Amino acid sequence: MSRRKWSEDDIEKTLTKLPKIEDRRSKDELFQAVEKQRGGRMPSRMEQRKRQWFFPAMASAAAVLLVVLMIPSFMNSGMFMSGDDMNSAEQNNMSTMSESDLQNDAADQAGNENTDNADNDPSNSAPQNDGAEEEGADIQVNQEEEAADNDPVNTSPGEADLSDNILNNEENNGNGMQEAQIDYGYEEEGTTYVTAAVEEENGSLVTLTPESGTGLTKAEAVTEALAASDPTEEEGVFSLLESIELHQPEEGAVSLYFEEGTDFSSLSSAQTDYALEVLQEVLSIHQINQVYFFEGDEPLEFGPVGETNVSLSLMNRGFYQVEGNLVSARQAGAPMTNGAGEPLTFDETIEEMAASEEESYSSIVPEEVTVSDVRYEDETAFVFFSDEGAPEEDFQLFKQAVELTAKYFTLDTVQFVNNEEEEVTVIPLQLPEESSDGDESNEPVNNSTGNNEAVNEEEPDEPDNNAENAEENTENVNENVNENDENVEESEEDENENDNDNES
Amino acid sequence: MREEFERLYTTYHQQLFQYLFYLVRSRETAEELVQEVYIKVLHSFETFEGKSSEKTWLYSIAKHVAIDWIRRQSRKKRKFEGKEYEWSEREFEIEDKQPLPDQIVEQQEEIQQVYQMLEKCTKDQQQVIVLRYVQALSIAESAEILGWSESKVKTTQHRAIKALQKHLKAHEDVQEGKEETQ
Repeated sequence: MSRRKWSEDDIEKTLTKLPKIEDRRSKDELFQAVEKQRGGRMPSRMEQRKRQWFFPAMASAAAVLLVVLMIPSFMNSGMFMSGDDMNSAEQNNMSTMSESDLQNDAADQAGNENTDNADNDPSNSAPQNDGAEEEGADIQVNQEEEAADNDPVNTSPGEADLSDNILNNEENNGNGMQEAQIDYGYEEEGTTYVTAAVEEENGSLVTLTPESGTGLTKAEAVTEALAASDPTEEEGVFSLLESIELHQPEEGAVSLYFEEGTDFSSLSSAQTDYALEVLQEVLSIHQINQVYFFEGDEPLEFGPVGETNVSLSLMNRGFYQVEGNLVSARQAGAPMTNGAGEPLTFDETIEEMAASEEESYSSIVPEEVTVSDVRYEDETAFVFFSDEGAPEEDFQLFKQAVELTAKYFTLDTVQFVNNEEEEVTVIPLQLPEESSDGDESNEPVNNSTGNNEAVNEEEPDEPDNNAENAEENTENVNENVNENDENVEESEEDENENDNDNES
Repeated sequence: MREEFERLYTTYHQQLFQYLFYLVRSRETAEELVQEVYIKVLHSFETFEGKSSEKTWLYSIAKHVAIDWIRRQSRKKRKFEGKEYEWSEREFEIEDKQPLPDQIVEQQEEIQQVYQMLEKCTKDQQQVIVLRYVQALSIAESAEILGWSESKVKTTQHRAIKALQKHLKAHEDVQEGKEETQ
């Protein structure tokens, strides 16, 4: 038996000598096998599409049938003339109508001045609800296909189940649901940013610590995060940072200005890699995709390769735990794309986060927490969950992981809806670009503690705006939550009521 | 369809097959999976937007097909045995029972050792080693296929070589111990 020292060079050379393995089958044989397999079964994604189209199509057909059956009875009872007096059953009848002319007639005759509320745009569901509550005659029109098409995040046809839920909401919006509205407890929390650390004992893994970004602008959070995430403690790479500028020299970039005389050419390749990994983890949650290094006004070469700027990937899907530490899916090596190579959607990511069972990483979702549904409306994601007593610390980490996950999508807010406790937690996803005194974000932010303290003392405007918006959204989702929970029962009850009304 | 298949086959087939083989470590499975890759590719070819190169797109699909298969095997095995166990246990099992493929057996002893110890590395490390050394892909291409940053590829590659070195040394120590007892 040969005795080798197995140096890294030896290993690398041997790896390149691994034999080429070739498929012995001919092109024709393979093509036939592929054709046979294709004929035998549809690709899994096709199956999903087929299945997921079926139910919305059936629901649409049923809705059309209901409309056809109901219009004659409405005409007979003169219901369109008495918008203010409509009871909830009548409103239910109205809500299923799909002809916009009927809707407009009804709105006019009910004397509803706020005719904009009858707009067909499904994204305006909140104002529509308000209109319905105030006037009692606002009519929701089924916009099933449009609702699915207009969803800003749910662009994959493989997410029809999600669309179904939103559609169910929209079908019921504006009917008698407000009468049974549950008064959900509503709480707003501040958004989060992360600091990073390189765990050398753990294979140089970059682990993250969520920090509260309340009261900070994005530039301040970035500065704080870099100061707290120095991967080269002895040399102190980021301690030499003097100021930063966001969106400079281009949108989505950040310029880091280091002290005069800074020289990073002596950094080892490992230190450079660590620093770049930290930048990747800390900055990409702020949608920063390019980092420029400067010493004064001159470009600064970073690391032995001498790069003056680096690109960051904005692709990350989810967060996981490695030995109790929070790590990104990118670091954990968790899947970030589906079988067809497309990036996971938000709900697919949450599903993957909940189900992960790997040797090298584990789920961030506590055992006691069950995520029952994930939906989107406009730029808000709703995460429906139940909690059977998860430890507070684990639960907070779960929420922070979901929030951080959502930052990589085009979302503004994430709302955690606990149906059992009737509680909604609203978390805005983006830190404000400007501070409360209206400073532009691209003004250099100095890396000094005093500056940040000064900002912390003041209340920025943005969270207040967020609070108002979130409250509106929450009211809306409260109705939706209730509607979904009781959807089936109500449908049955509504049918009965309608039958009774028609008979009378 | 046929034309598209022939073009893809001529350009990429043996590379893809080799990639799958080193991930799943079985010729029969690689044959099965490469078919699945073609089915997915041909099905979604029209929707390929060209954001990445055709080559990295194909590799990316192959990677997912292989990972899906590995997960399915893991679940099947667990269901069959009716107990929870770790990946490392499964790896030992495979290592004990699965014979080396013919092409590897024909190679020098050191190549056999490297092939065997490669299995002890994490899945990420294996991916990077196969892409960078066996497939000779660039860091940028590997990063695109794996959906990672380039620095992550570099770091993982560095860790992978270190891990492989550790496993090879440990293996040699075990062999030495055995020889001494004989």
